[in-house]
Amino acid sequence: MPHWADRALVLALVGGAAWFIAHRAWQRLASVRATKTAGSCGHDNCGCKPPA
Amino acid sequence: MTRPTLRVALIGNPNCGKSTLFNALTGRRQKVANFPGVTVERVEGSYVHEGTTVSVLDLPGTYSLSPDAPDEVITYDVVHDRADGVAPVDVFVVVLDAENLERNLYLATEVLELGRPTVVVLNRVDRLPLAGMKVDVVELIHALGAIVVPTVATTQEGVERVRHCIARALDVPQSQLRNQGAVAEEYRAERRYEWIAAVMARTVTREAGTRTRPSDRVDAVLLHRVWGPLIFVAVMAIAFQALFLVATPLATVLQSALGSLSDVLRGLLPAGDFQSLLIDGVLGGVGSVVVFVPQIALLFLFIGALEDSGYLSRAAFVMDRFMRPLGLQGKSFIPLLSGYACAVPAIMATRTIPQTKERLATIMVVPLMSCSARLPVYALLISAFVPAVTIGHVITLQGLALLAMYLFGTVAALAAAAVFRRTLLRSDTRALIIEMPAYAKPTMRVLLTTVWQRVSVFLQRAGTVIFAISVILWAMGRYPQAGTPSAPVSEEAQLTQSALGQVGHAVEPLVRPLGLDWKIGVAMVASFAAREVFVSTMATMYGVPQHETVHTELAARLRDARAPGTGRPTYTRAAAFGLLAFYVFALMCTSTIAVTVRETGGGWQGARWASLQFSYMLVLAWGSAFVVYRIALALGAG
Repeated sequence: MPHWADRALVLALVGGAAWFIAHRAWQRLASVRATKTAGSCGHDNCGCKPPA
Repeated sequence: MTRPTLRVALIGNPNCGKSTLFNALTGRRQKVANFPGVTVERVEGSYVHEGTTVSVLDLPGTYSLSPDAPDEVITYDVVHDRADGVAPVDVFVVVLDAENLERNLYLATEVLELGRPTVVVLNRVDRLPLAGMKVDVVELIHALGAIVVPTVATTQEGVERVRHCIARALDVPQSQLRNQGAVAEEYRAERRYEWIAAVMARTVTREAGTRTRPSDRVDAVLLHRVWGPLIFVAVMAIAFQALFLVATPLATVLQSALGSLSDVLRGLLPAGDFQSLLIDGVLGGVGSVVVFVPQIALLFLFIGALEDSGYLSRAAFVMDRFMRPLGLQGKSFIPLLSGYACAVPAIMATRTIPQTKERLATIMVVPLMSCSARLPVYALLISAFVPAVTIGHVITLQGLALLAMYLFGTVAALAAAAVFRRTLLRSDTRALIIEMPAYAKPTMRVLLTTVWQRVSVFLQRAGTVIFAISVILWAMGRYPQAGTPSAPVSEEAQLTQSALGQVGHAVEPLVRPLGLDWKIGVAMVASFAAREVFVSTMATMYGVPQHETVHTELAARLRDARAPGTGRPTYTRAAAFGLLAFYVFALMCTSTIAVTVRETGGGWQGARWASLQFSYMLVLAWGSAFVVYRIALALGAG
């Protein structure tokens, strides 16, 4: 295998892995941000009132 | 006229077999177990019956339509058509546990009074003869004014008839229970119980004499004040011993397969960076975690068997006595025990705890229970630093050490809960009311399904997150390259000068007081994403060749590592014990952090609780590692 092909394959795999980790981290952050702070979830501590 | 989709909701008391019926109806594999509170969120599935798509909602169990705990609120919202994102339900299916009919009828009457199309399923009728009971189904139909279908959901008996009745439910007259004088004051529990007692008298006959049921005789031992806790500890000890003894030969087979795979790759690819990336990075990293699949599978098999047998509720009852002084009740015990498998479902399981502060305290300490991801780290360090000595021909020192790790975690979780309940989360502790499900032989099909689901989650992580991290770590250890192709340098020198080496040296001051070096520091930093990454990072850094004994080889390399210059062991036994303590207490799992944020209120409020959880566990981990290291040194384990 030529040297450049070896390097290209490594670069593709490492780049892909880095993108995957960054993407997962971003998704996690977005899901935390999207969680509503109040609603009918039943927790006293999040402001909603469970039905009597 | 056929509808395009018929929407059905399964409602019933906890542990009456709703999820088993749901799986039987839809062919899905929703988790089922023999203890109350398995389903804590709504789950949806569907099937097609006579050309109509029937969409089925499996709801968390509830004893009444007056919700108490967060999981019960979900059911309440669906029944009253006020749940976000859920279209109004066309047909309710009320599932009754035939053996506990009287209690189950309370919720059934509440649902029937809504006057909406309802099918009543009398489940577990196969257990009636053993309980010395007979139920007159025709009389029950008359009393409730609704369709009643006897079933045994575990064997699919009567399930086709349930499908048929659901399809017809819209066309039959609805129950007139609302209009019957007996329950006119529908919110008066007393009147309702009187009415139920009258129905029971008409429909249920019991065998004369009060013979002791076999389960009562078993309970007399398992719930005994002295024997109960002792049996519980013995059961756990046997399980952890089995993890070491039974799983090791299976792990060796996996290691051998991975070794062959690396040989094939070596033959196929020319020597170079890409070959090294695949063999040392990917196979070394992912492979070192995958070899733990047998242990993980056994752990879940064991927990599944406990759940299915009906022992879990007994264990919760036995532990209630010990948990009460700490400010928790037995209901917190089931999430804590589930934490041995994985903290994520365990934190979800806290939804069955009605009291907010008890629930929050349980969430805060669940990650201290040693989850399956810690197992690879424990197993590696224990096999490297604890001698494989047998004590009294029964238990090995390594098995005992593993049990000790789980005990440390459990004790720490209980102690931390006591602190939370006396400080930030102070409130009265309510008495435990928990249902004792009937003992049952674990169903092999259900057990294997659960094991496969959990193992596939583990493998998914290995194939995605751990794969990606292994690739990055390999690159960081390989570049910048210290030598040239014509003048290569030693592996040690390359690693020291690499990006990974520089990170390691930066964190070394933090781990040096624990008797650890920069290499362990790198593995610890990397494992904040997921604990098992510790093992794969060490395998990558030590360039462990992939052959039959990759894992044994890594353990040997850690044991035999020598500090340059002095020739003394790099890792002393004391440092290894300290490191084990660190992994018992540290919260290193992004999934757990995310679920804590969600379950403690979400948004910034949830983020605050999650930050507190992460910080206190990190301080506890570092502090314990330091103390254990120092004590072990003083005792001569240097």
